[in-house]
Amino acid sequence: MSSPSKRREMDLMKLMMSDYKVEMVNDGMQEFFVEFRGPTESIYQGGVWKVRVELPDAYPYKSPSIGFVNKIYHPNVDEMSGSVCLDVINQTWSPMFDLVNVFEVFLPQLLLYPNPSDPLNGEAAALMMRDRPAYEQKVKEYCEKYAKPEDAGVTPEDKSSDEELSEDEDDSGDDAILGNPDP
Amino acid sequence: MPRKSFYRVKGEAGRGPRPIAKPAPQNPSPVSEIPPDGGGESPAVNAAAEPPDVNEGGEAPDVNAAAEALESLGVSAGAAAAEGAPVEQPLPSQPPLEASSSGRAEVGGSLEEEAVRKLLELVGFGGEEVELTEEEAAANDQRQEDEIFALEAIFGDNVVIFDKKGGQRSFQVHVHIEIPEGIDVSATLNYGSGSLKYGAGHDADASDDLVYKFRVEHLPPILLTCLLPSSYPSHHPPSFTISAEWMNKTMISSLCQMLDTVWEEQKGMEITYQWAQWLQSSSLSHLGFDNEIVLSNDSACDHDPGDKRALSHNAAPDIIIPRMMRCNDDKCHESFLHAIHDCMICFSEFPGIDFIKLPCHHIFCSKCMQTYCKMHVKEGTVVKLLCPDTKCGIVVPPNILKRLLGEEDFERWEGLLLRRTLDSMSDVVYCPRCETACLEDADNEAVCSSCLFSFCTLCRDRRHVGDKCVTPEEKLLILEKRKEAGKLVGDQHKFLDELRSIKEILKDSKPCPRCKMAISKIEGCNKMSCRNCGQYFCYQCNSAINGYDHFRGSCALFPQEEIDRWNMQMNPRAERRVVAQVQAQIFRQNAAHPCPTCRQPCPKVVNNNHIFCWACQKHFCALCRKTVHKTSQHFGPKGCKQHTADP
Repeated sequence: MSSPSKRREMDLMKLMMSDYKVEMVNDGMQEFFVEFRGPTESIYQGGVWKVRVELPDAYPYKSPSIGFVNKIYHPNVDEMSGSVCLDVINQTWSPMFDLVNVFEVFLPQLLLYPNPSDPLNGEAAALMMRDRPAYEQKVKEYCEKYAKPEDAGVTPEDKSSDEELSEDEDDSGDDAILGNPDP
Repeated sequence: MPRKSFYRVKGEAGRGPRPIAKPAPQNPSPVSEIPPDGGGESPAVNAAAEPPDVNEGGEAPDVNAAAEALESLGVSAGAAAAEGAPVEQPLPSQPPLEASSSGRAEVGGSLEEEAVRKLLELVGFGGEEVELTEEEAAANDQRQEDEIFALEAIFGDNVVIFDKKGGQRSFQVHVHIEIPEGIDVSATLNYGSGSLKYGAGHDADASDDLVYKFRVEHLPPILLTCLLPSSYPSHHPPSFTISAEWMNKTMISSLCQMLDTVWEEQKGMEITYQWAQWLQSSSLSHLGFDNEIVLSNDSACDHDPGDKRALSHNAAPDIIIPRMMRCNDDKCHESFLHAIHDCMICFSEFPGIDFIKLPCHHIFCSKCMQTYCKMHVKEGTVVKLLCPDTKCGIVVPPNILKRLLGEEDFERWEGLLLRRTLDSMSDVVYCPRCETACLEDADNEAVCSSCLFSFCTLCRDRRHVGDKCVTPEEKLLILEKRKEAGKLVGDQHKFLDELRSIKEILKDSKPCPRCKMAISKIEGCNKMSCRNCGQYFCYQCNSAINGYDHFRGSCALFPQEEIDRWNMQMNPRAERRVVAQVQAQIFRQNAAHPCPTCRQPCPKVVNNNHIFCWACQKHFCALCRKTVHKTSQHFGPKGCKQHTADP
């Protein structure tokens, strides 16, 4: 039931072409980190998160799993694990959706319109309902504290000069190839 | 559908060096395969009140009848074949046309046959024979042979070459007019005196006329049948007839005259390709149908019998219109099957044959649809078997599922669907003996309608009026006690095993508070949703919940082990990063090397020039400041030195 590899490649390529920084976790195109920026004109503006994406074997028939690596204060994101409660991703996924959809539409929508009635972060949801200004303040605090660009720290797949020559062996797979620097 | 299979027959005939049409109602073609998704319509075609020999395979008579008619030409031209007599002609007169769906095959056949018959008649009238010299005759013969060879190469399956009889070659070209952007067809209809007719349009009583319009991309072919006399091409044009199902006599006559003109312009040249070409590209505009095709009968007041070579069928509009639509659909489907399409799920390209077309007209490749459907059936999420198009969401119909899933999975799908429906009725329970669905009454009792077993729905044992029902645990205890006492008999051993396995299952899982389905958690939070009935429940305390409010109380949303697991996953990198960052700060003043990618200062470890950037996680060389992909390639005799002391 493994998924069409062409589709994976195209999805990743589309993501990179849409100027997202993508860092592979290994060569299998199963797992990677994507830098995600808070939507403009939202209280999350300016925040940068490293989002962990895992494509299951049955992708795209099954939805990818999505989690925030650095902290975010949001009623529908678990504060501890960063896992996202996203109806579209988990419930109404269709194989026609792709990763660009996730980052261009689903995640921004989630940040713009949190759903406090079905919260993963109960405290955030309660604060949002009770004291909106305090909630927004806290969101911004979290952004400043945990979501600066260097916190996201996604290293883009370099597309520059010498990289192209050795395309298939670059990227984070080098952990395995290189090991740590000798002492 | 018969059109389609009809071509296939011709294709087979065309494979030989010089196709010979079989002499044959005795040899009905076996090709009557039902095309992939036309199953619904084609059977009707053959179920007509026709002579049995015509009935066989539906399409065979088309070719054979025509060939036969030609054979009879052979007879009339003096050949000795006696059995070619018109006795076997299945359709000398028109069969009744009241069955419109069956009409198509017959009429297709009769039209073609009629074309040839008419041609023969015309030859009979034949005009003046020209005395040819032997050289001229040989030259003509060679040129005819070359011409037919060329036609075959150009038109492929759309040209049928008949047997050469009496020294004359004959063939039929099916001219398909292509209108890629489509064209409107309209007809003024009148329902008077019990049958549908073309309306007059202009009369005073035109009030009950109805203008009917539809759009097509393909038209039924124009059949151009030619007989090449030995004096062609040097002296005479070929004898020909034209027929087209949807044209009236006036229209076809006009086409015939145009072909004469074409010949006049190029006398002495091979002409048939020009003719076919002209019919294909210019006949519509010649008839004034550039923007719209208007169907009509020959006007009654027109006493001009028209051209003898024009074979019009004058079928009633309720026959011809469905036929045109069907022809269009068939052709469209055929071109869909052969064209290459992109699957929007896997982005691969396949020909149309490898696609599934859903009733909503969305198409996906069979492989994707199969994986998609099998996955949902395997996971039991049958309610999600919808069209993958995000804006569509129609249910994938059972006939397509059956094709995709295979027997076993399809049965599972049916079972799941039935089960889900029954489960949505809260008073349905299953008989412990035969698994038949039964209705439970208010006292938690039920009687199986199939085996008449009367049982308690709680312990799934036989009805125990007055006795309080026991839990499985209590029951297990009782049975184990009995076992120790050696009193177990027969079925009770089996039952004990079953209880034990239930206990095993319960150890690793929790029953759904609503439907009691055993559910075990693999990972994630404690808010569980039951795959079977959709109930949300807390995996910690096993109570039915709604939303996350429950976890503000004594139950935790995430168990500690889950948090630990997550942290473990994240930690190695984080740890390495912190160490390196501290190192960088220590060495900042004297020995820092800025990373070529992110410019963060990074320390050298002793003399090692291979540096791992703590910030962006890239490897680079302290000497040349380039990214390092492979230690062995970068450092070494040809590259940089791996170990040098800083100056």
